[in-house]
Amino acid sequence: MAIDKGQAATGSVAFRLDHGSGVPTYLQLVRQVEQALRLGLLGPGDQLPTVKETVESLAINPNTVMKAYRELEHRGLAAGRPGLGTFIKAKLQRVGGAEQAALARRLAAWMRHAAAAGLDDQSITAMFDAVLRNLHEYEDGMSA
Amino acid sequence: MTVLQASALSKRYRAVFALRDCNLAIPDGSVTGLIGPNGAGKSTLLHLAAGLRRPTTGSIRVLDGLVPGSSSALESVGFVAADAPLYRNMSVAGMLQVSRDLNPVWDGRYAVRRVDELELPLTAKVGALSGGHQAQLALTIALAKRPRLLLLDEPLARLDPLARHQFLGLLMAAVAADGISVIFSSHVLTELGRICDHLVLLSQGRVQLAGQVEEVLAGHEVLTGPADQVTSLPATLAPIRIAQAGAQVHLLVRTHRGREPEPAPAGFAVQPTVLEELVLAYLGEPAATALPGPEFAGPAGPV
Amino acid sequence: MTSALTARTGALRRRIAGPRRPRLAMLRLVWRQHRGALSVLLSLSAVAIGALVLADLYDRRFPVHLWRTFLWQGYGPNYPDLAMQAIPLAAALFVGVPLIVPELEDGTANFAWTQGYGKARWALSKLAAAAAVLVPAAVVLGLVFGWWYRLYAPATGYFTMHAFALYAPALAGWTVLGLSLGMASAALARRERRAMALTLVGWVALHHYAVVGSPRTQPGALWPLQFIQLAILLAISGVLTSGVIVLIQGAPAIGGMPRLLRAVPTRAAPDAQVLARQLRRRPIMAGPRAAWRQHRAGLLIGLTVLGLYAAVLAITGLHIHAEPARLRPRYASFATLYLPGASTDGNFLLPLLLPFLIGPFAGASLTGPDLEQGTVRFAWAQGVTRSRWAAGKLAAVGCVLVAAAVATGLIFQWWDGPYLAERLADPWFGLYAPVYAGWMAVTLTAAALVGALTRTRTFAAVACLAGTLVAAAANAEFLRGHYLPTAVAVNRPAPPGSLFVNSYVRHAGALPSAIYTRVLQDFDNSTAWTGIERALTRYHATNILVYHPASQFWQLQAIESAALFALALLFGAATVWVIRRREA
Repeated sequence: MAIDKGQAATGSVAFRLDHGSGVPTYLQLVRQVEQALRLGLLGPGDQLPTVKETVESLAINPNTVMKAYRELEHRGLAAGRPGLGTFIKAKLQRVGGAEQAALARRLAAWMRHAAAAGLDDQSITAMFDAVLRNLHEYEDGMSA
Repeated sequence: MTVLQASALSKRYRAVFALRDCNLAIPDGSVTGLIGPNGAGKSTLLHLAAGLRRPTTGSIRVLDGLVPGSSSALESVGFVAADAPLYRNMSVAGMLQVSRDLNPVWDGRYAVRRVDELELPLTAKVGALSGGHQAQLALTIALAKRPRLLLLDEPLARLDPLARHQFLGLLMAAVAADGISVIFSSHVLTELGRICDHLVLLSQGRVQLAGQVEEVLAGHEVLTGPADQVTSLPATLAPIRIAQAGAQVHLLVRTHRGREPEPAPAGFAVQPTVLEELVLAYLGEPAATALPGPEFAGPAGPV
Repeated sequence: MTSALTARTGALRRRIAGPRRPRLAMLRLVWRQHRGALSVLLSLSAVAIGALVLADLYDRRFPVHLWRTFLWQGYGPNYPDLAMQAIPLAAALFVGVPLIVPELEDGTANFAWTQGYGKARWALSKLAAAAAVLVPAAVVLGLVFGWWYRLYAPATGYFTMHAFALYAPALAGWTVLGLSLGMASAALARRERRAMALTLVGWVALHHYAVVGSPRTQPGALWPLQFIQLAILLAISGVLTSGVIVLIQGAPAIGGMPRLLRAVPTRAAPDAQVLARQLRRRPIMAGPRAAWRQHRAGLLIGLTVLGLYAAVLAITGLHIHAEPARLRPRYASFATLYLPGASTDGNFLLPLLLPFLIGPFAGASLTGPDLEQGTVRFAWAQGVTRSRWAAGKLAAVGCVLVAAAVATGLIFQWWDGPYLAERLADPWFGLYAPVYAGWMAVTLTAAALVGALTRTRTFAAVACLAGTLVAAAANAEFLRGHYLPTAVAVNRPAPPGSLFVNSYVRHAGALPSAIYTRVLQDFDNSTAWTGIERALTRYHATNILVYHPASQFWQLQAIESAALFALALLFGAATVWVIRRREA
């Protein structure tokens, strides 16, 4: 089977969009870059895919990609070099293993409370998604 | 700088008005989607902008004052008509050479590179290519002209999903690389939402809605509440569309209704709207028009 | 919906939903699809009938000497003759071929063949439907011609190339044969222009080999021979129609082309690198090059046809120039032009007719198809304005065809060299380079104009063919005599080689028509005039003969060709203006 190397000419992150998710496109791009940083696939000095390549493979407006890259610059994660492209500037703060375990224990406690109050799994997931979404919008609203 | 400016534009065919009193000002660097039901006048507007037809009344100008069809406009405006008309009996190579001959500025290397990437055989007769390939070829030829404005009339109509994706990808790459402005008409709302940053809604020959997508979306909201309270709502709400299902009702309203931002009526929840919902609501109510702000529509009166 | 609208759609609904297929379904269909070409041919027949009737009514009082031209039996056809003899040929090219080709190209034939119409029945029905429209017109024209010709037949004979093919049975036979020849070429070639070229070749061959009768046949044998000719022509039509049925049974409707005609060589595929280099800079004369690329195929076919004619002239010309004194009289009859030693009675109209066939078709192809198929939406959105596009096309194709016509005309002049006496008469006058090229230019631009106005190709082409032929006939009969001051001869013949303009008699007694016929027939033949002079003296009649002497030949050529080129420029400018105003 042939591997579609469409986007991979310069950057090392492949974007995947979910148009039905309700999340704005540019935010999906930002989060996918952050996810790649988190997983260690991208590091400081790596180049992000050019606007042209990205729009050609995703069929979205170039302004959306530029908005995403500007947001990354605003968050201090990337920097644009004129004529060369956009490059990763800093690492994402990684959460340590102990801190992650503590967070997971607190989440489990909350879930037990919710289950005891009568929420089933789907309601828990829905509440979780809604609060998470509101949180991000609040954050993005603050930073915009 | 506007790429398209229409002022009291009307076009009549015998007794029927295809376009009636349209005012538009589409800014430079935008990708504009022209939406409307069949017979709304989208093709007519594009043909007028390309100089293939002449207005009955009013005026239309492209690229800051050029008359459509004049030789300066023809050099900077590219047009691909619906069903991508090309010479059916000519080979692909012949078609490229004819386009080279008919355009003072034409990037042949780009055209050949694109044709190779699309894997179109140079000796194949155009009529023997699939609909998708013909559309891709027509777009390639139009882009090779290095236009500043590109007009596309229902370019996605006969394309399969993969071909549509590739076509739009090619188009967006050209927009990203050269900053060209695009105006294209389509029925496929989902793809329009992804690639357009401006929107023009035509219905029965009139402009219902025109403006930047984000601003238009921000200018509308959905009020959801109990159906029995509809009659007690203030008249200034002027909903564009009321959708009722059982005991619940959704109202699509404009956000800037008065001077002050108003809170939602009691018992109603406010939600933002999405493009598809907004477009469908307006298309379903041909009499509704968004009151144009100064940035939405062009000045009334002849240019 | 208003009640009127419901009433109309109600009737339509009933017709469509009715139990049985309506009568004469195929006739209706053929008429609907081809009514342009069919109407033009019917109109042309009507004009010819009218002209013959008028000529007979006004006889010598009216300066229409249509019949005058028929008295010269030794000479080739001229415009009025051509207009009538072109009807079966035009039927072959513009009705016969389009009956089959579009349906095979588009595949709509498959629709008919799956609707309960077998292939054989489909082909026969089409032929029958077209014949049902054209044959009655041909029969009427033939009968009117026969009646009109009755006065002149004893003097000039029934079996000349002018007359025999125009009697009712023969004309009807040639019409049916033309239709089936067009259909057979279409079934064989499957593409319109190739089918038309094939039809022309077949037409020439049939006119050479399938004609009965010769000048030596007894006049009483006219009607028997007419029906024998009809039978022969119908038999050939039957063979051709069977060929059509056989050809369409085997191969698929779309794409399949018999191996015979697939052998046209195609150019090798251009390398991408080479193509990119070619496309880098805009070449000089870019507009004409684009026009050439678009119309290359048709233009080459037209040039080939002209070239064949020129080749025939060249071959026979070399033959004649070797022994002019002995061979030239044998070649006096135009029919022997293309084959040495052939019979003198073939109907050979093609040389004079070529500008009226090639010009209209080429001209209509410049504007009609682009407007008809909507490719103007591509062409008018490129970097050149519409006016330049149209003007470039007209200039490019016009120059090529006019140059070809000039070359062909010059070859004819060289061919005609040793025999200068009848130059002022048609067809000679019309075959010389200035006038030949002039008519080519006029037919080309007129057809481009009609194509731009009507957005059609076939209708524009056949309408221009008919219109310009009628105009050429009218010009030859009415106008040519008045370009320059004429000379007058009283009671004596005109010098040899003169162009007859008018003749009238002032007489005390009644001059027998037989004498007057001889006056006209031998107006420049001084040896025959001794007898005529005696008769004129006996009847105390004075004959005034108005003519153009042969010395005015080149002046007349110059005037006529200048007028034609001016008219062509006018048509060309009008075409560009119409294109500017057209909406896509």
